[in-house]
Amino acid sequence: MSKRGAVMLFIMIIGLVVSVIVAFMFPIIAKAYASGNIILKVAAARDIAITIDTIYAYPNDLELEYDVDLSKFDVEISDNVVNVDGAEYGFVPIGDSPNVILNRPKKIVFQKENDILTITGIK
Amino acid sequence: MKIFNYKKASFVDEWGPWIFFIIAVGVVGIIIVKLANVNVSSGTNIPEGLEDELVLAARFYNSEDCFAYVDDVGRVHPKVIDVNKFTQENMNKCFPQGEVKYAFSLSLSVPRPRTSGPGPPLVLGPINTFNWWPGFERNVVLEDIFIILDGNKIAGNLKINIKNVK
Repeated sequence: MSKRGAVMLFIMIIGLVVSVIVAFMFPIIAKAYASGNIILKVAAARDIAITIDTIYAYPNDLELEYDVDLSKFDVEISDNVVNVDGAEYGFVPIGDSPNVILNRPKKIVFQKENDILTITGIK
Repeated sequence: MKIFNYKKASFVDEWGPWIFFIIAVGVVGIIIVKLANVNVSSGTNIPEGLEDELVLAARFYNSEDCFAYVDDVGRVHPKVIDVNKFTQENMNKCFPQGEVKYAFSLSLSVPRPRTSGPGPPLVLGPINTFNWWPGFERNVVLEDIFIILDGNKIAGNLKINIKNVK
């Protein structure tokens, strides 16, 4: 066997071994990537936006505590969009325009009084 | 005269497999990221009918800033619609422009009062949200509500047409 042929064979074997390892790791890597912070950010943004929509639809004053721990993220609620560390979801306010940035809140308190919504983060 | 350029052939022989390998690793990386995003999307999916029918549509008949009736004492009566408030102007205040995935069109069906004799029900509307356009509706919801008309409270229907915007 020529030297060039031996090198090619060596490269092919390495490539094959790496391919098998990567293919085997596919679902494990994807699940780890998806089940960490990314899914929490996206779910929290949607959850908070729908909570705000629900509060606006409620006819009376209320106070609601959202106790999902978001202390790894900054939560920004402005321009009718909830942004949790880059994950965004829109909501529709009524006669109001909430504008607040919550730094790493452990929980969020929503208070609606006389149709004005106040959002506070608690660490 | 040399017909084959051995320098070019040796470059392909040496670097060809590595280039192919790098491209393959890149494609694999993209596939992994796509798989992960599919997992994220499926894990955070909002159940069908929750956001549009239950959450967003509820404001039309529950919120005093939309069409819900407010009595003299200031109490808001959920699922009671004040006909005088059922206007496009109020709809624009109730559902202002924003990043939302749904569009709504509302019609109010009011039975004719007995004093005006028999006949088909009165239909008020449609009044539409800012992002509504005519055409195929994904879903139609019929809510049984009460209507305040000329000081009288009568049973009626609120028809809510819903479309996906994006």
